[in-house]
Amino acid sequence: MTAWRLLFVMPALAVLAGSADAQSGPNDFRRPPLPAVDTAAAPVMALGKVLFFDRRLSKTGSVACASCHLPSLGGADRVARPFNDGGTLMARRTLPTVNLTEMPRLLGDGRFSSLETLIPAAFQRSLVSGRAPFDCWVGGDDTAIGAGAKQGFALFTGRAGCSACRGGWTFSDGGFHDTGLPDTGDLGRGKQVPNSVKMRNAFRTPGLRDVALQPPYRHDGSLPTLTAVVDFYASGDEARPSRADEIKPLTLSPEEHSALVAFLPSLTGRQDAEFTVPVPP
Amino acid sequence: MSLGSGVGLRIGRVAVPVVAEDLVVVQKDRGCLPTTLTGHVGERVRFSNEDEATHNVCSESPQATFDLGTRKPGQQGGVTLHERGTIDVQCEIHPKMPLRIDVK
Repeated sequence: MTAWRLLFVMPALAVLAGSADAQSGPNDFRRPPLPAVDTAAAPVMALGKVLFFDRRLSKTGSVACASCHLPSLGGADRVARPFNDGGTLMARRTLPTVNLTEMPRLLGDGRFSSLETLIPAAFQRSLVSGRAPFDCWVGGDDTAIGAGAKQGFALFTGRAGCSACRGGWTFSDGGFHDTGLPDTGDLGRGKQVPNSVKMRNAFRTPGLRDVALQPPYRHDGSLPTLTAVVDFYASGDEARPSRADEIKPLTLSPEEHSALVAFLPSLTGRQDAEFTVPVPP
Repeated sequence: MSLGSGVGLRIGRVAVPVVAEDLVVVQKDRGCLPTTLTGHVGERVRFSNEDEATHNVCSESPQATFDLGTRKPGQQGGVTLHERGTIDVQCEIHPKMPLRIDVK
């Protein structure tokens, strides 16, 4: 091998060898420190916060962003499907409006690629999940989460294979997957990318931070509890060409089932500062 | 990255065993390696899925609009560069693995 080729090979070996060793350990999921506050952007963010709570932005003046994206619930709500400002039941479950800077594409079908398409972007960019007991455990406090949650995390990153789509500190790859839920006619990402078999019935992977605050689950709100979610994945459900290859048959003992369910509430965060609700003028 | 017989380089130009002078992009660990690539009109880019997940390769850039479909681990696909400019390549399944190709 000539010398100039070695210049390319050695860094590649280092990077890829490092990648091969980088299996999903707790530190891969630890919430990073929040970036320093940009004081120059503070006025825009403050205006965005007020707009987020102002119902006058809706056509009928009946709903605000915060009507469905409650900061106290990690930016989501607790209904299967909300009503829009016209009183019509919406097609899909509310997605959390936190950690959106980690999502290359927005909404369940990914039809928006920039936060700037949503109002108010500057404020939404600042919404980040709080530090959770899981983060404290990763940081060295062995008492922060219980044995069941620890076992659940081991399953999550191990045999259960959840981290295949739920990696990183948001517990989401930001990708689009058909998990095999019954077909309700909602093509999800498939409506935006009709020629892709894998995008049919595929929806964006939402993050799992604060997930325990946000029942029911799935894009149609069809699974009422986290237990039902784990049941769904363990069942293997509907195999079809569009189903994600990561979805595989999974047999769980009752103890393992409970452990996975116990792990998820450990991701409920607590904000460093109390959130103050603005009063629109 | 595997170093099978005759395979030395998986970044940039590869001589053996793929077609000589192919530019090779490896999809691994939910990312592309390299993340930016410079090529020339007429050159061919080969995408090699060395990940544990199925990936897609597509672009909607004016210089090159293509969709190679999904590739399971171990599969490859390629595209020839026809026009100068910048091509943004992505995986439809995993949007967090962008690749930029500058075509000279």
